[in-house]
Amino acid sequence: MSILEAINIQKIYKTKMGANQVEALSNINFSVETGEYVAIMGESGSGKTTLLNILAALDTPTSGEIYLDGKSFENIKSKERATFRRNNLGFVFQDFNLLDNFSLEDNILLPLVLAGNHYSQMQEKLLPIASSLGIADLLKKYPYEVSGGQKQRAAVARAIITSPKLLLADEPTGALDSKASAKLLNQFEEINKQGQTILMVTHSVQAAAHASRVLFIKDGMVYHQIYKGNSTKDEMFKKINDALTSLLSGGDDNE
Amino acid sequence: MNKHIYEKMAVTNVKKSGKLYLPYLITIIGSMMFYYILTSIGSNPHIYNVETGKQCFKGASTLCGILQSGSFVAAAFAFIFLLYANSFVFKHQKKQLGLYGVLGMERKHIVRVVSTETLLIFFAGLITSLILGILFDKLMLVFLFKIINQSAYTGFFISIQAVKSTVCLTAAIALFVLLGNLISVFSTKDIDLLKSEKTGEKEPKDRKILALSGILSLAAGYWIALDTQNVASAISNFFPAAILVILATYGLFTAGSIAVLKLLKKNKSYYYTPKHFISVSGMLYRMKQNAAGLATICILSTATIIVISAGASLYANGNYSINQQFPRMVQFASDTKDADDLKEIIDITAKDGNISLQDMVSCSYGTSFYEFDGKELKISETFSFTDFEHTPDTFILTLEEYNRFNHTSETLEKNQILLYTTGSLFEGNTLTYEDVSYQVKAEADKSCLTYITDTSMVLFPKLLIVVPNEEVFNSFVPKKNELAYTNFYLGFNMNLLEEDIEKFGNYISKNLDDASIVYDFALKHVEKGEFFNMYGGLFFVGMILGILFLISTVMIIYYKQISEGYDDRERYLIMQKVGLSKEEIRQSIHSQVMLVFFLPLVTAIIHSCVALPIVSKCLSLALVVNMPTFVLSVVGTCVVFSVVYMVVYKVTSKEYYKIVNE
Repeated sequence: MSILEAINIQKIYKTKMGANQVEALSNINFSVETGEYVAIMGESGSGKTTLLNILAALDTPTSGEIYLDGKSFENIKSKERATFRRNNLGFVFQDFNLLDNFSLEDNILLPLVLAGNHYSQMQEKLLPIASSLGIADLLKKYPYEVSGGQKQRAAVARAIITSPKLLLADEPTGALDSKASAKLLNQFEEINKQGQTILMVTHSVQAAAHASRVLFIKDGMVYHQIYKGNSTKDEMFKKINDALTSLLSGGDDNE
Repeated sequence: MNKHIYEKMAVTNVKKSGKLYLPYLITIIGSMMFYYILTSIGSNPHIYNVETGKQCFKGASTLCGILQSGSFVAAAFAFIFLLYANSFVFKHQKKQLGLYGVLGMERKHIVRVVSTETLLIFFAGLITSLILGILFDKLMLVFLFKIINQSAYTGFFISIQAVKSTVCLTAAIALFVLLGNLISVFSTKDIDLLKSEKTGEKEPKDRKILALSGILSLAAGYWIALDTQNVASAISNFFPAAILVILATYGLFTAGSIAVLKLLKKNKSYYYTPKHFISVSGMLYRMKQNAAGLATICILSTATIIVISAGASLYANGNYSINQQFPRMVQFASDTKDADDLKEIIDITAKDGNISLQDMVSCSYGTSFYEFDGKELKISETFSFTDFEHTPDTFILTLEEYNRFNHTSETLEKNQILLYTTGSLFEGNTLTYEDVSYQVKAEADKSCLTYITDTSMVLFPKLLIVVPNEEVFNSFVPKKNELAYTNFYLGFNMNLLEEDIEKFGNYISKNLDDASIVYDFALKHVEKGEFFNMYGGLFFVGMILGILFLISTVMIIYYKQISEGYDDRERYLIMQKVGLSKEEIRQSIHSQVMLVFFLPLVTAIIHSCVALPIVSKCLSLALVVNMPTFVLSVVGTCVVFSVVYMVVYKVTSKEYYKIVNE
């Protein structure tokens, strides 16, 4: 069953006077199955971030429709968007986006607090997630006291503590060193194995190689996709590299 | 062609960051305009010509002196404040400058940009303030003359001297500001300039002891202020109480607020709710950064409220005060032995001029410096002015004079007296003087006190004793005592123009001088003029300084809000992504901004109310304080203050919300 469906997504940005139009997304079609781990790759300016913002209900498409668990985004009133995001989506960002005036614990609990959960319930959810991500000892620390990798793990904890239908990750390893990246990607895989659907936007071939499926976007369209199937990570790595090479060389033969 | 590129950049910069520069510009304009007005009126030769010594009215030189001291204070304040406020403005400009550096501009080019920016702002401020100053000068002059009860001269006056000193002051401030900015540019690296806005925030420490001592000193300060019973203790208690409250305000704002917030945070079921989660943690950081500033605003607001309302109430009470001091339009005083001569000369002079004297009142009495412990009265050997309560202003009247004055026919036995006292000291019904015990037959009628002393002066209690005969009188007012003297008061009203009263008064003085009588002489309307010059002038200056101060306070708060807005923008953006709706953000901002904004004001108003009794007692040392008027003027000042605050709050919170939502 597909949890997310994007149908004919188009996004056109207009300049203030309406004189110039920029088409960020021309026609995006894809779906994500429950429990899948999908990576979206593309060059800078290919529309990745625009797509992610639309999928996160932070932005609205010019035309096209998105269904999350069968529910169309169009039917959500703008007032309910925040609640909708909180209840259904989890986010991990490149620059962590932790609040510097909250301890890691409070940062992780933020969505639950906003949802009006009781403190004892929050604690029940917090502890297993924190220990599985290896940050149980750091909960009382503040963001400026911990490393980038630890910050990102706290951000992941915050994203999954609401058990979202979909975890959206925007370049999650972008600001991490290779060791921290590897650790985080393994944790993503672990979370995915536990049944969490993940959609990740990334530049990094290494990151994408962990996914079960990779979509390539070029010029605002889904250009190509690769299934991991039974291949190993190394094989996947090679497949993605090959796909990127042909993408960059601009070959039209794939269509 | 590119010769002026840096200047152009500076102009564009100023235009683009109007949000940042406009309040600063307004402050420059406000302070320089008021400085110009104070200086211009203070040095206006139509009011008081220093060279010729010609005064537009009596006491004009005093008035000009007050205004000039006021302009001095305004200048000093503007100097300090504009330098201080510049640090807020420049902090935000630093990032831009860092970018220039990275783009390859050399320090000397940056210096050109910074100098042009600073000079541009000050130049614009100067020109505008001079124009507004010259325009409003006349208006303020009319207002001032209205306050001091004088008719303003007609005509427009531009004071070259005031323009010169305003230009000099502005130039001096601009120079110092520029110097500070340049030092700041040279002492920081480009990369630090770029980053200067962002530094890690530590959670504030919990300083329980400081918070606790804040509470204690507030309690102590309030207790002293409210417990003060009389004028003497009010004066000695005022400064300790004020200092305690100032310390308490700093302690409570810095440590107390954080202790309370931390306590709230520890209460998990309170803290972890959508409403409190963001507000409590947000306030914790806000208070850490702003507590000292807010405490300062609070203290200065309190001072302003008290000064303005004290000035207003003194001024509003002016006529009452004058009437208390001068119950008659013309008043003479001399030694009792010259009483008959004095009276005769006045009568003759009036008859000669065919002038009728109305409501004539006279009274002779004796007085000395006494000590009184409630039972025994004795002539004081030592001058001790510290124990006000036990050294009453004492007036001795003979029964004969008392009966004449009051048109009564009271009788007294040899050892009987009549007595009236304002203090609560006298108890029982006998008074001992020089080992003789006098029985107090009844309370004396106090109406003669109105003439022979100023009953509104409450520093010393008043004691009126009516003795049965001349012999007892002489024992109470012994001639050999240096401080004992007998006095005669004569006062009357006249149905004449003020000039004619003056003429008449001078005529009598001349006759009295000829008769070589030692006398004192006062004309109510002259004294009234002096009084209104003095207090009207003080009130006027106080009000201008109050307005100046209000502008500055408001501007500090504005800058605080704006800079916080930039800091908070990122935070709210994250929260929005995590699932906070715009409505929730608006609410959270609203409650936090409200708190930061109104905490100093509310505290200042509470402080002022508590200070009311002690301040009124202190003021009553110098002047009549009519409690209802004083309370009313405090309330009025608070209301005006609050209204201005409200308006600025509306504007800033709108700006703040715009920044956060950009």
